[in-house]
Amino acid sequence: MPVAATRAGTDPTPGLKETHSAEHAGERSQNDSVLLRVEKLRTRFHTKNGLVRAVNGVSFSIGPGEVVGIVGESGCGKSVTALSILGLIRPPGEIVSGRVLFEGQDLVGASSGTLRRIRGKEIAMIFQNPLSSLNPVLTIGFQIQEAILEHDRIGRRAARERALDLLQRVGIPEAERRLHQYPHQFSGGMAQRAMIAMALANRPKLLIADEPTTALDVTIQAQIIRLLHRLSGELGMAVLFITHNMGLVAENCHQTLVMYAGKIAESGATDDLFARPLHPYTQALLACVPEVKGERHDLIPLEGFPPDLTVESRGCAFEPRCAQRFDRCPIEDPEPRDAEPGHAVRCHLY
Amino acid sequence: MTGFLLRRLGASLLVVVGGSILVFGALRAIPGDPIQLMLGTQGVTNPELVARYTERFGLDLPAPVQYLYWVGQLVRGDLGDSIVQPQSVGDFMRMRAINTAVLGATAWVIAVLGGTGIGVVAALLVHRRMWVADYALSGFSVVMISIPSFSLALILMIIFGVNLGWLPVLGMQSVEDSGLLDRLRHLVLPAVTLATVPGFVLGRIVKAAITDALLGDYARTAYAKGLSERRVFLVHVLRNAMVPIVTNTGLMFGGFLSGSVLVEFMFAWPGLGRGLVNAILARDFPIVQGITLLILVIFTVVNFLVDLSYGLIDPRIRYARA
Repeated sequence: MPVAATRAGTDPTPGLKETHSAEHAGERSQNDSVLLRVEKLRTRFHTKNGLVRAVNGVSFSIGPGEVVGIVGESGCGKSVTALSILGLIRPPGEIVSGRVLFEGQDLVGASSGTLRRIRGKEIAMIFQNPLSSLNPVLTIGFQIQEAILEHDRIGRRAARERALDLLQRVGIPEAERRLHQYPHQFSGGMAQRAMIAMALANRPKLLIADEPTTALDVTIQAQIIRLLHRLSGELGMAVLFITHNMGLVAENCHQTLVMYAGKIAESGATDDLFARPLHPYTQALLACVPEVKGERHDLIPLEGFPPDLTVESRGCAFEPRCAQRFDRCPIEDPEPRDAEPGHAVRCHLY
Repeated sequence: MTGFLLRRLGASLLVVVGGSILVFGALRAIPGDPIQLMLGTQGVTNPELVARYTERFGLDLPAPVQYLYWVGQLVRGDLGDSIVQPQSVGDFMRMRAINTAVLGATAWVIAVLGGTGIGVVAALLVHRRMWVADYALSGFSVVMISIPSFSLALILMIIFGVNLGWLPVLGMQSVEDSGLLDRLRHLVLPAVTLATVPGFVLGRIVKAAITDALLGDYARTAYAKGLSERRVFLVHVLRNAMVPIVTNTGLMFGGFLSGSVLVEFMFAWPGLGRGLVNAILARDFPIVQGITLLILVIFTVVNFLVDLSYGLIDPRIRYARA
């Protein structure tokens, strides 16, 4: 496996794959174990430079307790996908079509009341920059208690107890004191822990983690990932993990979706996908990940830039950068097809 | 915090002293002699009289000595005597200061309530992407900000005083009736005139502050928690937008309390602003010094209070000072 370790590791993180993947991995086609199903989601933004098709027909599903990773370059639409699920896309962006079925209920076009009952209660979200995602003028305790009280009819004191418990649970020392502090008194890692505590306040069934460690330094990154692991296992919580770090996906996710230019280029069980990357884009991404253990190999950078999403291309969006392109690629956009059971790829080669 | 307070007080004192020296020097640097202006032709024919008055007010001494003498008086609570008016500076200012404060405080309340209201509405128009209404309101604001207060005073006088006959246009009270209602009616037009420009300016500041806060990451987090639009706005956005709003309203308060020369002049309001203009024209040094000193003190005190209030609003500032 070429991506074994981006973390220089004497301490291999116990992957969720090992802990409780058996009952989910490989049986994706069964409908009975679907928590969230996204179908042909299209989200676009009206900008001065034209219509940006940020998410252009994305479909995938997540089972209960499953950890799914979306990986891709900046601007490939992975964050927009996450925001679309919770209906947090704001003008000039809009969800054009598609469905987001959470436990069978379509969240696209759902009333604001329905969305509010789901946000923070059934599906919680944490973001890339924890310090700016917390309100600077309110205490951490207030912000966590607010999340609890919004969805749960309990007293202030009980909410405070729960907030305290949550802070301890996410490994914040001196939680009692921390409760009264403001975000600027937290380091980035501690702030992300506080965000996680807030997200877990109502024991959501799904946590969307949008680049949760990108703004943190590497050692803190590992701690946060390990924490998310542990909590996901303890609570049986599904996680949609969005990142541009191939290593993190390889270690942590049952399923992996590789996104390119608003579409899913390749998807499958993580082990399959990393063992046999099919799409030239996935192969290129793996070729530019350094290895710490194992043999030395040259890093091959992926040349070129992601396409301009305001221009609707006729052919495959990856074609201009693809080393294996042929005459069909610029003319026809490939449809996703199962190259192996549970391993889909959007490429004319297969 | 104590260190912060001491530093802040020291700076305030420097501003007051420096400002008073500047005014003191400027008065003596500009052409025109108060004694000669007061005595007129009498002074031209009687230089001895001029000399006697000049000595009586200490104007023959070097300026620095005069300043120190003035400060000496000040320390004993005496602002000196007016050169032109037959009364002390303190007596001259007392009633006028109260009149100005009444007008200024009223205008402030109107400007703060009106400006905040306009700003919130404007920000919501942007948030809801109601562009036509947003442009209309912005355009109207620009027009209102651009109208000079003396023109606005005349327009309001013609509409509400002359054509409609609803409100009195001059003075603080009627000769025959000086009840509370009559005084309030006299207050309306000058207060509205005074409040208009700062109110619409505040509206733009409030709009920008709220629009900014609504785009903040923490606002997105608040929505992701499942909070209602109203709660996101009231709890998360408004508080973050407060710092620029408080700064502006605070400084506005100082401006209003120290009087508006033009508005008081237009509406014949017997306040400090009008007193100051007349005193400058007559080169009545002690009165100009007294009024400008009061303005300086009001501004520095208000500034100080605004500074302190930041700490109440924003914990980052509170802790940086600790």
